[in-house]
Amino acid sequence: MEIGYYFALSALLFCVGLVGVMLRRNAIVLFMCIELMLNAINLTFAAAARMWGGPDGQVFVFFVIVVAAAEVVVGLALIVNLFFRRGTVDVDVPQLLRY
Amino acid sequence: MFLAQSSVDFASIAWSSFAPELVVVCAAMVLLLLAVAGRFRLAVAAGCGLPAVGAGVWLVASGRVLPGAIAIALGAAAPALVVAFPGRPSLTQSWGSGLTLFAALLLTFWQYAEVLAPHGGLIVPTEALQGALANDGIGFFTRITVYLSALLVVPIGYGYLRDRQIGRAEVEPLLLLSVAGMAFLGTANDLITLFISLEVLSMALYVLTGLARRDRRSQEASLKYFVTGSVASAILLYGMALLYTATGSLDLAGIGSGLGLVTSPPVVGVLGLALVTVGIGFKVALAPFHLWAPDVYQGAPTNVTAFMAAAVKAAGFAALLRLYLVAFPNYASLWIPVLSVLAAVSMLYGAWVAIVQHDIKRMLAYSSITHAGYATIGVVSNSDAGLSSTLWYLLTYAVATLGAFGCVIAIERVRRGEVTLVDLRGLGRTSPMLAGILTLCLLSLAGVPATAGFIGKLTVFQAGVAAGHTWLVVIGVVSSVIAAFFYLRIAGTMFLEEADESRGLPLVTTGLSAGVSVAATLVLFLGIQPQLLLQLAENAAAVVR
Repeated sequence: MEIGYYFALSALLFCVGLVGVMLRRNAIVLFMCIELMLNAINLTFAAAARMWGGPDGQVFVFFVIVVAAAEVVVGLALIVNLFFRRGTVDVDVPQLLRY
Repeated sequence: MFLAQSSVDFASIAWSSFAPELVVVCAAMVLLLLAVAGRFRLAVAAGCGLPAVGAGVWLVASGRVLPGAIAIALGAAAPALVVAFPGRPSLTQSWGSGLTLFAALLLTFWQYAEVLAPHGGLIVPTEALQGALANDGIGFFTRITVYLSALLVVPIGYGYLRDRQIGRAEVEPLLLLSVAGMAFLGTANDLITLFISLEVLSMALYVLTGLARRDRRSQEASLKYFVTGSVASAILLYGMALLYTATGSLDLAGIGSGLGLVTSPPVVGVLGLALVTVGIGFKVALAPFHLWAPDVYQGAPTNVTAFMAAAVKAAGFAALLRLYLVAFPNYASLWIPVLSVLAAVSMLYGAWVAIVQHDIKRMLAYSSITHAGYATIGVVSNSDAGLSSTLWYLLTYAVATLGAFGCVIAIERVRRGEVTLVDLRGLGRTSPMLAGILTLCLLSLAGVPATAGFIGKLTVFQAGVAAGHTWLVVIGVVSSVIAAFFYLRIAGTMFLEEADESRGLPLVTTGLSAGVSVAATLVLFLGIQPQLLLQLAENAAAVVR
């Protein structure tokens, strides 16, 4: 089944994003990995919508794109503010909340 | 299903099915406009209030008296509040949001009487907006919990936000948007609505967590919450995508029936179920997906923490209940054991780690993980009794935790920093009222009889035993005993130890004392006279399937 390739690719992209979130420590790169995960999901939705022949999945893709855009706004604002506070966007450097 | 109608017919929209949220979202927009209006505040308020009054008059004329009266009252309140507090826009914002949330609460009960249970008693579940929203018990009870929590948080947090100078004009609109997201999450009946409402509530909370822009702890908590929350959302969304792949439906009931067919590939469905469990487990902070909760609860401004603990948990569990009961009944043999284990781990781990905490906020965060475990017992019971017991448990937990965090706020305002056990020494002598209320709320969290928490635990455990999860209930009792130790240790610190003279008295303002007193009264009232709301919770055990 040829549509399987699309699902495999999107699963691969999702895993790349997930592994990136776990391994990388730069907030901007973390952020890119999250976006990669969301776009991998979009691919799944588009492929599934093609498979089932209905508009539902494609409609969902539009909503996911909007949500991803909103997440960019909030996330970048937080990261920029954090950079002003402590001069780095490395999420591991100063940990005040632990133990 | 969305493209079937090419033009929107306003008369065919079931406005009553989301009337409370409509009020909340409109009020959030008006408050945002007021925040940026500057000199033109009165003009903007009047401009926004007039259409609301007009709509209210039309509603009253067409026979819907209560919604009409509410629209008129809120429309008139907008300019009135601007005039009443000249030069103090923060008071206008707080009163405006408080009135809005009260109106939403009233509308929720109106909705119960008019739409949900038109013949009184049991709720008749119906769908609205082409199946996007469900008018049923989960939505109804979630609305009560989240609107009540937000209504209490607004006065409790007012003075605190002014003290720390973090109370900017966007706080109340963000709070209202987050509440609207939670209420929609409780009623969401298809995956799109569910995802969007989850994101609306999360994004508002990311910003609220990072409200203290000069406090590095708040910033760190905000970034952690953002990253973990976004990853959890993405995992949940991938689960949804796989469910859609397996069944070809975004409708929860459609997924439920689709997963039962032999034609649907079981691997994809099970993988979707697993990812959805991980994502939703993050949102309600079930161990082992709780890692964000202690840091975020500790770092966030305390009123935001109180709101998160009380309301996000209720909304998350509403989504969890609906997903598992409606979309996954065919996989019950899979998810019941998994969720049971998660509940057991949460109850034991949360109680165990909470003992060694010194920071009160962090301790309450671990206690919230424990309580997520108790609430899950009702979910895995997979019965009407379990459903209503979970809804009821979340309400009792919300009022008790709001009261407890409110008292922490009063102490934190003098301490200006972390509140540890040392700060509570001798509080029973220096400010007995506050210490009494804090003790009452902690006793309710511990589940001592004559408090709301006891009835909550009792109903949950009863449902668990009835469904045959006796081992889980035993673990719940053990965990309650462990948890009672650290709740009682706080009470002991307050009443048995000597006060440190150098520490200032807790600062209690009108709003804070009003909010905390109401929470404490509710804790006692729901504990001694639970019949009224418990009956309502039992009536609410009706789901759109």
